Amino acid sequence: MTTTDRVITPADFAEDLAKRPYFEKLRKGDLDLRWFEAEPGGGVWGTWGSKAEPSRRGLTLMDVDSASGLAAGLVGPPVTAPRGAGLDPDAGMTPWEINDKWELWADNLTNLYEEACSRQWNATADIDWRHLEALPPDMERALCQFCTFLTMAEYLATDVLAPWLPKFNTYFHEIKLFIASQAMDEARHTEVFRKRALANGGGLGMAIALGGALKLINAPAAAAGRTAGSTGSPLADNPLFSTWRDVSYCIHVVFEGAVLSIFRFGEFLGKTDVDKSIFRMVMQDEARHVAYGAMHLKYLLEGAPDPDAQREDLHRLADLAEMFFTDLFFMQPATVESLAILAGDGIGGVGAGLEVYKDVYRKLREEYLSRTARAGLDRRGRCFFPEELPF
Amino acid sequence: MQVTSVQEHERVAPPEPGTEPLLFPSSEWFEALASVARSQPERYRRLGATEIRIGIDVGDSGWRVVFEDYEVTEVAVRHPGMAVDCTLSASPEDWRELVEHIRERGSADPTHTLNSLVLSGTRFTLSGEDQLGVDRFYRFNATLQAFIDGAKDVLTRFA
Repeated sequence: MTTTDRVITPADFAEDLAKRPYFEKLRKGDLDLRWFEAEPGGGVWGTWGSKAEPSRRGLTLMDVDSASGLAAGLVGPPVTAPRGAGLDPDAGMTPWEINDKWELWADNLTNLYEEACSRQWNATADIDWRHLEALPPDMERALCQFCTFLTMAEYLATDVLAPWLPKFNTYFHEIKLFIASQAMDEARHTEVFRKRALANGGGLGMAIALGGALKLINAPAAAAGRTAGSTGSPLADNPLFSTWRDVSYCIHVVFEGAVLSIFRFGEFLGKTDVDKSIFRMVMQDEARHVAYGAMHLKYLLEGAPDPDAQREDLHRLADLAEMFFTDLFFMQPATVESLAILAGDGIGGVGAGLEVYKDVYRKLREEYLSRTARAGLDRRGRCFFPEELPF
Repeated sequence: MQVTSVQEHERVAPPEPGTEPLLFPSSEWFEALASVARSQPERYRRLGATEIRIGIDVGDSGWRVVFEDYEVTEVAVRHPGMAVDCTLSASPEDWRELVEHIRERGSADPTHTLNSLVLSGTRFTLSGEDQLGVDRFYRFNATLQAFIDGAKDVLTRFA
């Protein structure tokens, strides 16, 4: 291996380690023990005497917080220490991008993480794949197209969310753990839809073009003062995803709110017990993500330094997000038509299926408006989800 | 390793049915449904922790069923002001059809799952004052479906 000024071999590395003062002292029996001898709460050692008792569910983070008194405060310090830990005196400061509780918290966050762990499932073994039943060819093709679309949609969620993990201050372990669990959820969704597409005689269908939706928002985004980044990545450049507030609103509230309704629609449309069970399981995961998004929005609007300015900025963001996801989800020909075929019990019933699609869309829109109003961002009267779909 | 799917798991260890049919709807019937759930702790643990207070309205009569952690912790007749996260409502005739269907088939078929029934919205409705409460119906849907599918093990008579 080459460092900046010399080639280093494994033997060099071992020699360097052996020369460290600590190991020279240790060879003479001189231990460091600063961590061992430090007084709890004195800065080096964190806490002592906590004896958390398991509740009925097991030992939850809520139980641990309650026993230790280590509930989250308002600001995370600029260090790597987990909340409640002391710090190596030699450790330096560690700046984090997201340090304030109002930027990330939701009052249900800890509970949602525990729920996520408890309700994990396995796409390999928890779906009764051996009992998949053959569908008429047009129905199987439509379902495969729907699954192909959903596989893409789940990638979008993971790809947007995961890069935010290292930005959260370690003081707020709850958000890191929850978003990690969400990434696992999204991975499992990608997995289960891929498996479904390939398990019943069909296959993966047509990947939809995302470009149209991105172009749609870029013009109004620029007009609103939101500018794209310069990484060259379509997602990173998307002005909808420039802060955690924006990411959470767009992904957890708008995107996953829509996906939740689509999963409910998928469960409704499922013609077999296996397809029903797939959509039932993904629906649960998605509703958990939406629950975080809505409650985080509420916490942010109640706790941010300037809630009125936050609210107005969020309305501008919501304008764009609703346009983006309307285009992404509800206007794609392959998505509209595949769902209409499933809802109409075949290509011959596509007209009736379109009516069902529109009816489900109206319910989705109403639930979105109720959810945002509950969180303190009333979108009625200015929502860009059209009241009626244009067909 | 023997892999047991959720569906296969649901078929094991059916509880002993009662010997006398219970009237639907009645507190005794919903208590019996809760007993079916309590008799399968491993299944409910596998479905995951559940936190929901769901109202079940059968015509003009109503009950509240509370799920906490891995089990049903309360079945009660609903009174005005009793808090629920959401309410599942249908006429006695539609509930009867659902219960008879589950008893005959062993579980809801694709047209009779709770989500399908409320999404079509023609006979069963899902309502609640708080959308986040209504969303709990989706968050815990597999548990709720398992719960109502337990009707297959409740010997039932109708008024």
